[in-house]
Amino acid sequence: MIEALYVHVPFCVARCAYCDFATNACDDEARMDAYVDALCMQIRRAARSGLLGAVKTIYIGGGTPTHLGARRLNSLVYMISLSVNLEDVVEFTVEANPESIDERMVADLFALGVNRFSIGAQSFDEGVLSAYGRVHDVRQIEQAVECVKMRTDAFSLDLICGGPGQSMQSWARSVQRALELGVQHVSVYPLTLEEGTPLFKRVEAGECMVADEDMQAQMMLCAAKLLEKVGLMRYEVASYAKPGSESLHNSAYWTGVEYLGLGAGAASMLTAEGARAAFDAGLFDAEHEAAEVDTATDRADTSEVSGCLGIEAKCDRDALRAPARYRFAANADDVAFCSSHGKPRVDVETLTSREAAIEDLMLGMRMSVGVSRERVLELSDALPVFEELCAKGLVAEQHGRFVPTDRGWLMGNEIFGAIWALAGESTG
Amino acid sequence: MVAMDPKHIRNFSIIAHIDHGKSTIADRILEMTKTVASRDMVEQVLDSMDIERERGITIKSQAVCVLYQAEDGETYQFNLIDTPGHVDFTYEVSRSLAACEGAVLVVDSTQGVEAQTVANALLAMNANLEIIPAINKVDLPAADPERVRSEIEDGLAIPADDAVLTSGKSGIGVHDLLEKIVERIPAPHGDANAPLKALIFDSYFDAYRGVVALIRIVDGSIHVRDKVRFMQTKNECEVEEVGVRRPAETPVDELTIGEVGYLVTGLKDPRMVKVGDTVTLAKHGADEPLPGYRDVKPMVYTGLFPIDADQYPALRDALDRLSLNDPALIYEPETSQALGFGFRVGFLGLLHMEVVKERLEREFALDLIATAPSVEYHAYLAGGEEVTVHSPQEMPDPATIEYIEEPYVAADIIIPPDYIGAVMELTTERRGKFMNMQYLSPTTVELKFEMPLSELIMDYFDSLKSRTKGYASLDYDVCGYRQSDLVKLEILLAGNPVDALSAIVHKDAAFTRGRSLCEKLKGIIPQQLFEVPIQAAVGSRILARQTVRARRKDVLAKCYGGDISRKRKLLEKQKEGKKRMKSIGSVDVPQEAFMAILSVDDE
Repeated sequence: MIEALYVHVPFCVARCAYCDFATNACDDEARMDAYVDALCMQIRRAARSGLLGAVKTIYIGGGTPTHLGARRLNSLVYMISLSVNLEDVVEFTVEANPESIDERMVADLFALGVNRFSIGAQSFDEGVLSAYGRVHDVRQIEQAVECVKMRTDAFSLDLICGGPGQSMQSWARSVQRALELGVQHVSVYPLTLEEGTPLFKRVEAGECMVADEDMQAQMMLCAAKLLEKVGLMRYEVASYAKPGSESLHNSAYWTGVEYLGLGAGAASMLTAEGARAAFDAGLFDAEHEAAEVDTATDRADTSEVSGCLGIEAKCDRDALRAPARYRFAANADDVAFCSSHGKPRVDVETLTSREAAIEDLMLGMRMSVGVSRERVLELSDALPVFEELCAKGLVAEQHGRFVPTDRGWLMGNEIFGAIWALAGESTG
Repeated sequence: MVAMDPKHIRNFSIIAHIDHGKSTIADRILEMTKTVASRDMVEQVLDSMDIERERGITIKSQAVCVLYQAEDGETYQFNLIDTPGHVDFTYEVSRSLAACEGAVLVVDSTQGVEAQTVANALLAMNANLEIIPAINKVDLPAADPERVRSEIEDGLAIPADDAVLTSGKSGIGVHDLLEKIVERIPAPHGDANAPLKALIFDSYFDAYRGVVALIRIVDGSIHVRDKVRFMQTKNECEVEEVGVRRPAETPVDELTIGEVGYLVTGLKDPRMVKVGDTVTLAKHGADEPLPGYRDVKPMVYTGLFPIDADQYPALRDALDRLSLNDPALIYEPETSQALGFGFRVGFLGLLHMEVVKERLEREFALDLIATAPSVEYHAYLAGGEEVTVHSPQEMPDPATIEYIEEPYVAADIIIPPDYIGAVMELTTERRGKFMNMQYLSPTTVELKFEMPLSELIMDYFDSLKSRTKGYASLDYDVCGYRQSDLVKLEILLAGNPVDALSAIVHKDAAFTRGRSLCEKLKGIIPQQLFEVPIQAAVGSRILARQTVRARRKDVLAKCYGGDISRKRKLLEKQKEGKKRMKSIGSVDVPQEAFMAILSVDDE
C-alpha cells in the first residue's frame, strides 16, 4: 500500500553554491509549463490505476516548487487534489523558498488542501546566506513565515550549519531567530561539500573556509541544546519538532512505508506488487526497465517462481532470496521527462527481504525511537552488532529499544555502516 | 658444425655502469655480425625480461655466440657474455667474468667513470681479463672523451690511449671495437685431453627441459648423453642436450675447450645447479673444481604480505615460480599479527628486492605490502648461544643478549667534488665511517666509507641521489660483521605493539626515528571513533608520543527518499575503504602506514 506520495519539481531561480541536487536554474516558462503538464499526466495515470488510494502524506519538493509560480503550482496541486482522496491525507507539505512565496500563493495552496510548508531559510546571517548563494535575505524569510502563519502554524524551517565564515555565535543566533518566529519544526543540516559545486571549488581554491567536522559537531550540539530547551525535541538525526509536529511524510522514509515518487529524478520505494503495479500503470518507461526488473527477480530460482516479477516464490527459502523491496530512481532530465509524457526511465535497485529488514533497522536508528529488541532479534545475526554499538557508546538500550546516544547522533555513519554491513554477510 | 679451433674463439663481457650503453653496444655487435636480422632487432635483444628492458638493467646473464669475419680474413667465434650490471649481483658478475678472457669496459663519454664502472673494472682486473676501454655516446653534444680518457687512466689505472670511441646508437666505432677484440683479447687455452671442467655462470629453469645451465668449457669437452657431475652440489645427470645461443638455442654434438654454450640437465630442482659450480664427467672426472665458488646468501630480508589475505596461496605459488629461475631468492612463511600471513623473503640486495616485488605485482597481479627491509643480525646471548635475527620479531629479549653484530659494507661513492660535504654529512648521519677519498679527475671524486648495511638499505641511495642532484653513483660490498649497540624500536597503536611497524635501529637513532615515525603515522592514520595514541618505545621506555584525536562527527544528516540508496552506496564504499585498511586491535591502519617506515627522511 502506497501511503506516501512525493512529487518532484526540478526548478530553482538559481542554483545554490552547495547544491548538487537534481534541479535546474530555470526561468523558461514553456519548459516549466511542459513539465507540469507531463507531471499531471503521470499523476493521473497513477490515480487511474488505483495506486494513490491509500495515500496519507504528500510532499511536493524540489528544487523549489514555489518557483513554478502560482498558476502552475495551483494546477499541479489541483491535479493532486483530484487524484488523491484528501479526506484521508493527514499531511500535505509544499517546500517553499522565501523569495518565491507570497500570501496569495499560501492562501490558494491552503484552499486546495496543502496543510504544511517547509521553508528553506538556511541561515539568519546575511553574510552566510550570500556565501551559500541564496537569492533571498533574512527579511524575506520573515515575510515568508508571516504569510504561512496567516493560514497555519504547521511549517518547518531548514537551517544549514558550518557555512563559509560562520561563527558559533552566528549559528546560535540563526537557531534563536528561527525559534522567535514560532517555528514548530526545524531541520538542521551540517553543510556537505559536494564535489563539483561552486562552494567546493571555492574551498579547494582556498577562497573561503568552512567549518571542519569538529566545529560542525559543536554546532549540531549547540542547535540540539537550544531547540530542546524550548521543547523542539529531536526525533531524527536532523529533525526537531514540538511533540505532534513531526513530519509524517519524512518519517515514512525511515519506517519502511511504501512510497511513490513522481516527476523527473524522484525516488520510489515499492514492494514487489507495488513495483509491478507502477509499471502496469505506465508510470515509468517499461520498455527499458521492465526487462531489468525481471532479471533482477531471477535471483530466485526461475523454475520456482511465478508472475512477471517473480514474487510468489513457492517456498520460504526462495522468498528470502527473491526481491522484496524495489527502489526506483527516475531519470532526472526534465526535458526527457516531458517528451516521454511523464514516463521517465528508472534505475531499479532490488533488496531481498533480509536486506530490506537490515535497511529498516539502519533507518530506524536514524530516529530517536530507534528499534525494538524484538525487531533486532528477527534477524539471527543482528544482536551482536547492536551490542557492539552499545559497547562503543554509540547506542543505548532503553525500555527494550535500541536508540542512538548523544555520541551516536554525531557518529551516525558508524551505526548505519555497522548495521548495513550485515547485508554483506550470508543469510545463514 | 665443426668445432672451432680455440685460437679463433674470443670470450668476452661488456661491463659498464648502468645506462652507459652496454646493451646498445651488444645490440650493435649482434647486428653487425648478422646474428640477428635487422627486422628482428628489438632494442636490447639480450635483456629478455620486460623489467630489464624497461629499467635498462640486466638481471640475468646471457651468452650469445656470433661469428665475425675479421679483416685478417679469418672467421672468429665471439662469445659475448652479458653480465648483470648491478652490485646486488656481484657474485654472478664475477662468475660471468671468470668465463671470459677479456672485457669491453663501456664508459659514457658524457658521464665519465661512475661507481659501477670502478666496481666492474676491479672485478675484471681481479679475473685477469684483458680490458678494452670503449668511450661511448661520442656523438652526443655533451661528450667529453678526453676527460673520460683521463678518468679511466688516472682513476682505474687502465691504459686508455687506444680506447675505442663508440656510439652504440649510430654504430660509430663498433667495427673498430670488433677488430680490437680479435687483436687484444687472448684466445682461450685449456687442455683438450684433460677431464671435463666447465664453469656454470648462470642457469635458468625451463618447464619442459628442467634446469638449463650456461657453461664455459675450460678443459676437455662435453657431449650429448655424457653422464656429468656437479662438483659442489654433488648432483649428477645425463646431458640431454648441449648447444650454443645465436641467440636462438642451436643444439650441437659437443662443446669443447673455450666454448660457451648451454647444457640441458633435465633436473627439476633449480637448487641442484648452482652458479659457480664446476661440471665434470661422472666417471673419470676432474679432481679439483674450478676456484671461486661461493654459496650465495641473501643480504636483505623483508616481509611480503598480500594486502588481500585471499591472495596468500597465490603469493606462495608466485614465489615458487620465481625462485625456479632465481635460486638466490629464499623465503619462508611468516605470520604478522598486523598483516596476517605472508613470507619473510631474503634478497641479494635492494635492487633484487625491488625487482622481485615488482615482478610479483606485475606478472602475478598481487597487491603486496613490504615491511621495512632488514639485514641478518647475529645476537650473542649471555649463555654463549648465537641467534640469527632476520626481523625485529626474532630479536631475543634484550636482557638475555650479551652483544649484537650487524653486517657492514665498504661503500664506494663517486660524485662531482661539489657534493663532498653533502655526502659526508649524509653518510656520517647513517653511522658511516669515512675511509678514503681519491680524485679520479678534477671533476670526479671517489669517497670510500664503511657503514652498516642496515643503514644503506634504508633509502640511503635515494637520499644520496637527492642530495647530489642525481650525480652520485654508489657501489658496495659486504666487509664483515661488527658489534653494534642496537635496539628494537616498537610502535604502539592504542597501547598495542604493532609488529609490522617495529624496526631494529641503533640506540642513538632510536629517539629521532621514533619521533619522526610517530609524526608520520599521525598524518597517515585517520581519525577514528576513539582517540588513538601512537607511541614509540624501546622496551618499556616510551620515546615519543602523538595522538590522533577521536572523530567528532561522521553522519549524513539528509536522508529522504532518493538519498537512501545513495547513502547505502556511500556506506558500502566506506566499508570497502575500511577493508583496504588493516585492523589492528580497534585501530584501522591504512597501507601507507607500513610504507612510512620504509624511509627515514625527517622532513
